[in-house]
Amino acid sequence: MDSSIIFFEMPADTSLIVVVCALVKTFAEAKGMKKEDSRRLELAVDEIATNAVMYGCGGDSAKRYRGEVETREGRVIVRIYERGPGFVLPPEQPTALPASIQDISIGGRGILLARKMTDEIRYENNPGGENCFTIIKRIVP
Amino acid sequence: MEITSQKSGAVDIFEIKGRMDIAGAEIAEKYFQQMVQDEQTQKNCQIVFDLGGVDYVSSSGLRLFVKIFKHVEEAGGKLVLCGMNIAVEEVFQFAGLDAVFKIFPIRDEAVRFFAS
Repeated sequence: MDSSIIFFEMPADTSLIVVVCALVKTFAEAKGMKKEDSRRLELAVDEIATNAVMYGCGGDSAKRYRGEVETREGRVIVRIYERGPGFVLPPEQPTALPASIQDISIGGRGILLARKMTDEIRYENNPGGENCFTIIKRIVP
Repeated sequence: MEITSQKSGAVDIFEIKGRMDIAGAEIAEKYFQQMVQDEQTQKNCQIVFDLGGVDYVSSSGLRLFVKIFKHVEEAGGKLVLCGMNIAVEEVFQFAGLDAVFKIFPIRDEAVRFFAS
């Protein structure tokens, strides 16, 4: 059974999130994930890493966050850890068509996209410790 | 991230190239800052964003497009999109924004929309 893991640690710098995305995408493709799926996984990781930088680390580039990416039982699993205040993962809701321009929210689509692009996301809130976002995507041949 | 602009009659066309993640969106936001703030610029303006050169968009990129769209439309202008690749179009669909923006496959059709 194939199982391998890579660990990473990054400064909370928005310009370096692309490095984490490239690492996960390259790893997933090396483990047999199709390019269209690795692109979706990349986007989910981008959203969660952005969340870790902006909220977990408060956008402070002196702070750091860490993560790991592994394959297990035909799935790529990415975990991103940060020490921010944490939050409650909102429940999945259908995207509703806004009634007017005023009703269109400007932001807040990151978690929605991460969910749509993967098989599963989980968030573990550990006050005073490390919060962990887990992203899972199956490798479909 | 690279943005160039040109006119086609009364239509302002902005050709956007590169990666529209948080870093790209920060650069693009600076470029469009004056347009977003200047109500006179937005009034009755006709804008096409050609995304043919955008190979990637995240929620940070969507946020910027929605922000500009709202400013322009609320001031009486119009903003449409064109040229998206399949991956970028999928992100708009998953976010439910394909029902918000007018999206055309190619630039000529987007420009013709304003003529009609």
